[in-house]
Amino acid sequence: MMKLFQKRKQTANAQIDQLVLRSAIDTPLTVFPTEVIASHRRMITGLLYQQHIPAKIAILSTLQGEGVTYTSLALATTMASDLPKRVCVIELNMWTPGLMSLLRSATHPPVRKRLLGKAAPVQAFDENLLPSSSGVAGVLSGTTSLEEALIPTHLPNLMLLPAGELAVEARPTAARGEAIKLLISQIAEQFDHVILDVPALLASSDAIALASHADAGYLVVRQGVTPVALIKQALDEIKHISMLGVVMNQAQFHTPRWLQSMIPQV
Amino acid sequence: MVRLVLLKLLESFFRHRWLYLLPILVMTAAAGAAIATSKPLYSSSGSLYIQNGSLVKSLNDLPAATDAWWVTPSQVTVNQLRELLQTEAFVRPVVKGTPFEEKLNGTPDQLFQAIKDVNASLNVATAGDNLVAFSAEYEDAQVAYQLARQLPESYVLWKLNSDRQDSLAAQSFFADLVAPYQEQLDTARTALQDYIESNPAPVRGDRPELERIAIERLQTEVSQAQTRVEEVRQKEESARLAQIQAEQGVRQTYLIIDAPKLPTQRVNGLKTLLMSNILFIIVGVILSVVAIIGSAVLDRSLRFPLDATLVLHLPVLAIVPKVRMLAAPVPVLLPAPAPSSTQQPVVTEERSSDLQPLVQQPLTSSLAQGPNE
Repeated sequence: MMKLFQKRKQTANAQIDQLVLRSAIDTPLTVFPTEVIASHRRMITGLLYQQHIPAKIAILSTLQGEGVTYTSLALATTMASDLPKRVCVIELNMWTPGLMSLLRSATHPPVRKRLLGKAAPVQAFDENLLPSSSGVAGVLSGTTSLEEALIPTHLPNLMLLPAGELAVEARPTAARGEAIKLLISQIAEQFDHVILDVPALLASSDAIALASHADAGYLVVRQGVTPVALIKQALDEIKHISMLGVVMNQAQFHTPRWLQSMIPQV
Repeated sequence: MVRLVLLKLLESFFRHRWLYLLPILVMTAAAGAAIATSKPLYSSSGSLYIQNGSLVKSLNDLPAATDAWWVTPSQVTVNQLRELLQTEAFVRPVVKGTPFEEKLNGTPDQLFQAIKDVNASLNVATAGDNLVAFSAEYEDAQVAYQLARQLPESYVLWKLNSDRQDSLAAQSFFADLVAPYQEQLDTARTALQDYIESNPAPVRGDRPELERIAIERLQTEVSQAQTRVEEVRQKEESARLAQIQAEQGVRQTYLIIDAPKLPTQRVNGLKTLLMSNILFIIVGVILSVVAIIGSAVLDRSLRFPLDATLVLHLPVLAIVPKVRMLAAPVPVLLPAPAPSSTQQPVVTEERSSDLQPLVQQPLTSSLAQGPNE
């Protein structure tokens, strides 16, 4: 009974503390749970006081699906929310872009299939309320300007630039071309911090070229999933990039905390 | 590294703790089932002492006495007993009056199974150079006692029978010789008598030389036949004596030191059953431990901050917990405002006053030339 009460209390607190990223017209885009925000807040604080937060940070991963886009957005939202700094997220992953779908997650949460009974009805939502952008691809192809491509948020110091859709054959050239370098430097001039959402390092060699535009980077690793050998391989390929560290994503520890605390991990 | 190994093992266990507890639970359930379904078992045991001195003959008489000199009498006896227990002829008197007896009268398969069951119930082992321990276990105390009692008895009888057969053969052989030898003696005596009667001794003087020689010859034949008959009779008596001595010798050789008793308490009490079935639980624990270690060894993923610091030599900036993708709180999902305002940034006055305009200038024309450049 006591446990149930505590759980309810925690849930209530989580709803209060969770950070909702909204569009400029106040449409909820992504909801970040308390734990996610807290862990990113701790990271930012650590970077801020122990070293410094680089202007251009590449968020890297070894394999696809490690949560780079989510981490990038969470980091940017937390930074923009906590610091008086202008932050921009550039999604450079044109191979498997996920930013736009992530911005729909608050209004279109993934439907959980139920074994018994009917699934919860999907709430109807006006799609016009969600932001749209031709993204990096649009800017690079000249169909849209950077001002139009940037997605504003309810945080005045946070803007998002999704990847957009670029032809497959044009992607390697775009990743290594001057245009993208110019675009990044252009954005970097206008923002204090640019967060580069880079594709998986082992999925495409373009990722190395794209990551090289950053001042520093950190590796997002899916805890308990990504093999260490592959991480090492990925790190070997980006030796020229200054690495800040590792972010363990989707972490789940089953060992009781009291038992873990008996084994020092530092 | 030790810390990392410890962490991995702990995590490996706690990750699928119910799965790893499953072998223990299954084996415990199996042990419980074994205890619940176990029938009461009674045991009756005794010990047989083999006299060394008297055994020499018995050992020499063994048809397959190829054992080396260092083989002890108890080992020979145990081997013999084990071999004999495989035979129907020996098993039949052992199981007389027990439920096994009926099974022995069945089909060859049933007979084979019955002999197997009897062997499973009976246990014979050496308890020293001259001591053989034997026991019988059965669900019924009376049957167990009966089996234990009849086993040494049957063995001794078997030994007696084998010696008796030798003696009987000798007796029969010599008995068969007595009659013809007696007949020869009678014939010799008759021939002597007839010759004396047909050639009476002279009134005066000695018998003629020829008569005297013939009579001596006939007397020698009678004495020789008589000697043969006496010898055969003596040998027959010796054979009889040998049989009696052999019987006595076997009785003295195989001495039941501890006679089997009627068991009053079951041997597989709850405590004994628990102790014997603890093996199930131990096997379950071993299986679980092997699974935990195997899982930890096979897990090559980055699982702990210690992994990053020790293996990758990078600090862990953050540990983002696994959370479910959340939907926006319900009150936020309000009807859409006018579509004209969709792309207009809403910037609060306080924040916008602190910050510079985000997009101040248009991008250079070079950016708009496309990705192929």
